[in-house]
Amino acid sequence: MVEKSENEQLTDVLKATSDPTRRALLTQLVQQGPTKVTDLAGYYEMSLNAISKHIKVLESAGLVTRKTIGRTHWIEANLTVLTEVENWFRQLKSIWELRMDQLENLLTKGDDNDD
Amino acid sequence: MTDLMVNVSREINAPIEKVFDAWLDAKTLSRFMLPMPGMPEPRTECDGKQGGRFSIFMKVGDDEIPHSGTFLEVDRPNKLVFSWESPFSTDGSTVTLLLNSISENRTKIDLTHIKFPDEESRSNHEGGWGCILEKLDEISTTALA
Repeated sequence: MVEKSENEQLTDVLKATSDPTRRALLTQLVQQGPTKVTDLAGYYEMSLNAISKHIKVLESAGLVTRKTIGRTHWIEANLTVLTEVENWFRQLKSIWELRMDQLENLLTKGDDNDD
Repeated sequence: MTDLMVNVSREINAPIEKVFDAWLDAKTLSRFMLPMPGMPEPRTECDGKQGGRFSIFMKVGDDEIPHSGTFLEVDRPNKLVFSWESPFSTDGSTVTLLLNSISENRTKIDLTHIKFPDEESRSNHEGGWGCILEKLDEISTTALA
């Protein structure tokens, strides 16, 4: 398997979760555990074909994995890839967190202020 | 809507005026607006009044990367709004600080950084500003209760 860059991974996860149906699918999978593709199609009153397309997008983003037992496909949520999203948001926030740290140090520990 | 909002809250053991003034002074700015921990202090310029400009030149290798802005609202010691201009994008960006005095020597600071993808969405967003700030204020006030 070709290793995706973190950036590609982030893009795939955000794209996959940009669709409300796929978010609903993912929520359901997290709550219910591994579910058969046919059952998922039933819940959403969608064709097997339509649901399969959504699952493939989630799958290629690494958000779900598929197990085949006999002729049945079981879909399971995999949230470890969300780390990339969390990291990205944290880094965005951290620049100001960092400046606040520095400000706090400066104001509480610095004794060479001009006041 | 593709704008991006970052909220950071912090309580600092210092009087509210001191926390506020730190953002309007070139010398103090250079000491906490660091690009990364352990990096050299940036060169700063700051005209700390409403409509005044500031610039922070972050040293990255041999280069200096300027971040600049204009103080849009200076309401000492409770509210400070400034624009934040990055050399890497033409997107508009605004930082709002709300300060609340918890006690004589303790101040809560709520920072909101909002990026606007372009001028159009900025004006679309203008109406939302009041709500956001009210909400922030509300939150920080309830947090104290």
